[in-house]
Amino acid sequence: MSDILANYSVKEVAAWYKRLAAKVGERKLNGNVPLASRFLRAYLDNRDPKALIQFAAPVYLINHRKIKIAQSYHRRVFLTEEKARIGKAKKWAGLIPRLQDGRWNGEGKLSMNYHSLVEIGGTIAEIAQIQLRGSEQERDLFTSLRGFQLHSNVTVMGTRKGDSVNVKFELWQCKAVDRYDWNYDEYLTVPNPDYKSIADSAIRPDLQSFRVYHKNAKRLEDAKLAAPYRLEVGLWHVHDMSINGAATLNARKKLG
Amino acid sequence: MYLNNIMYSVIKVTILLLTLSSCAMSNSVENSESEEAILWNKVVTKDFFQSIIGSGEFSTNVDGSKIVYIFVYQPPPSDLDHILSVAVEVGLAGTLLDIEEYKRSFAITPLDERDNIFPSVGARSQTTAPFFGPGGSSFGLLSTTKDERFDINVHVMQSGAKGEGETLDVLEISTRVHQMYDSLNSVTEK
Repeated sequence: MSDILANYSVKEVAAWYKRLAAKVGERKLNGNVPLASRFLRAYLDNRDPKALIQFAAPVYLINHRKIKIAQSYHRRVFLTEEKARIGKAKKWAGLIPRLQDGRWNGEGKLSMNYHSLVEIGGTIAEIAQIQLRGSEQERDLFTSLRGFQLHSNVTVMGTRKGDSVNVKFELWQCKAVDRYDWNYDEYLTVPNPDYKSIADSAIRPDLQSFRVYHKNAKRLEDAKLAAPYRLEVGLWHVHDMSINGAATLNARKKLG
Repeated sequence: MYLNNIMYSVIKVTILLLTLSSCAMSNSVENSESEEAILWNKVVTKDFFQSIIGSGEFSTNVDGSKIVYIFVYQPPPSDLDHILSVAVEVGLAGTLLDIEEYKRSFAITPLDERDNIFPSVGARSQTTAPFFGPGGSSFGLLSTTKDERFDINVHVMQSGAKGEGETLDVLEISTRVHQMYDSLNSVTEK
């Protein structure tokens, strides 16, 4: 199929994207406009490719199974139960290396942060699973974020008796970090917000859906009618004892 | 006498439960031996998907009281990041498209938007919430068969498309599913 939007002026295309964002935003999720709509609107309103735009985290992101799995992994990294993935390498991190090299004596507060990739619908099998049993909320996360970095910022309070260190997570905050941009070589099929519209400005109202080639996003950006941006969703506080419950560490634990 | 009455009541309740259970089974789409499941397995087939999309993997999944047919497109080697998955979900009428909710949505939708949200297919239909972003797109169409027996949800998820391939139109796919169902159902009824 040809690039339908290529036949229209960049201003008409920008207006069509805005109608698409409105269409995506019509259905509220847990009482809120879906992230996919909020992100697209922000893209169309933005003019600075270096901008950092923050969004409140929806409850279905905070409670998503993949977030819980990542937070559980972050806990094991902070407690030096599992090696941290840093780039392509894996290395011990968290509390015990700090106890052993003297950066922390096991008493008082210590702040740490770690981040790792979370993917929602990262594989064909996962996408099929979302189709089979997924919710609208999960489809929103798949289209808007899909792959992003989950950051955990924690502050622990330690009390030490000999080699035994009791640790409480006094603070645990998370945020999702990503960049909202398009691969200009790709396209997606989407429902046409102008389908059956009688407005003079309607684009191909005879088509229920058509392909949107992302080179049209490039046209918008070149015309300063949109710009990619860095985004943060959150911060949110973690209140889950399976994630931020207390722990006891052996300061002399051998790290292989 | 009192014990006899209790026994009689227990037997009555047991028979009622067995009858209800039997009705549920015979009306249920998920019972793979049911006439309904056999009919739908003829309507939504791998060939049906292949005729629309091309080659791919087809699976039939029973999800509670529904059948979900999923077809995952096999992209060419030049377009391996392209993920395209189409699902056709079938359930008894009212389980996917609640008629009261449909009527309420229809009533509050402005006249000039109704044809967009409620396209003409089957007894009634309604688009599901579309999503669109750098991660991919997701959209679908719910409908009820003209005989008011089944609901159908045609749903598409796509990501990372570069090469040429079919442009999927959920209205067109739904229309074809309805046509196939109407045709096979009328044959079955004869």
